[in-house]
Amino acid sequence: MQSLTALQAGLKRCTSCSNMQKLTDNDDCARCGARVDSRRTNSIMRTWVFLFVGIVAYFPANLLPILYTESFVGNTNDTIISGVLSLISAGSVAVAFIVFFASIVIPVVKFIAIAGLVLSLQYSSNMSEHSKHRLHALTELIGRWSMIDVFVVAVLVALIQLGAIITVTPGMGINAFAVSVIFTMLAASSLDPRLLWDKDNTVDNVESFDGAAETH
Amino acid sequence: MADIFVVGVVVSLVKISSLANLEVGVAFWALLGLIGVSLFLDYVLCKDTIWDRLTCRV
Ligand SMILES: [Zn+2]
Repeated sequence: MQSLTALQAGLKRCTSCSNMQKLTDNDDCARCGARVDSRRTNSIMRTWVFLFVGIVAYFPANLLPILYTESFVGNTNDTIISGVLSLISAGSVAVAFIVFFASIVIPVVKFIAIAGLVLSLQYSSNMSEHSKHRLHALTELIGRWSMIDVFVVAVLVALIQLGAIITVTPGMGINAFAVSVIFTMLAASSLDPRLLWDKDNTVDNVESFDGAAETH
Repeated sequence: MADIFVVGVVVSLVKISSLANLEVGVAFWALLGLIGVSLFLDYVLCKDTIWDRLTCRV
């Protein structure tokens, strides 16, 4: 079985409406007007930058408190992990597991998956096409789930405002966490999956091909 | 993102239920229904078909 990419066929596909047009056509989609690139420019560099910010923000996200609780029995600070522990001690093990998975495991898995995909593009890897596809599908699928903790803090802060009895305010940790999740999602979306299927993995070839098509 | 929001709401309700008694209202179930419907819509809607219908009206 021989695979054929649009690039090899001299075509480019609009990611917004799937319309095909010739590489030599202009960069606006003839059908929907969106910008059409054969391969996204600087995809690898952008992915690295977004991923770097995501990883850096992950540390304050886990170390700083995400929630301040002021009540008549005293004040407490909750970090992500202490929130999980208090859910366990309250007996909600299933919910604690969901929060632990979404806030701590998924971000790390996603950092590794994205870095693995980009490294497989930059260095000739012997990863099979199918495992690249599965790794890419994983990054698309799990990324959003880490937002759970951000929503939990938003709902708690909105609901628990009982003045002197109990008041909940967000901590800096949750801001760092949101930054980490959003930038990791940006990293995943700026990685052009079409690069993964180019047989000749060197991106420069693709970009010089693009340039050549434009000068014609 | 709405499906994740509803999981966030459930986690918050579990956290609050350790502080106070609470009962979920009709709107919570309505929200669940809305999210179920919109997930089903994402699943069945084929963007390519829509674009094809829009361009060549047969
Ligand atoms: Zn288009």
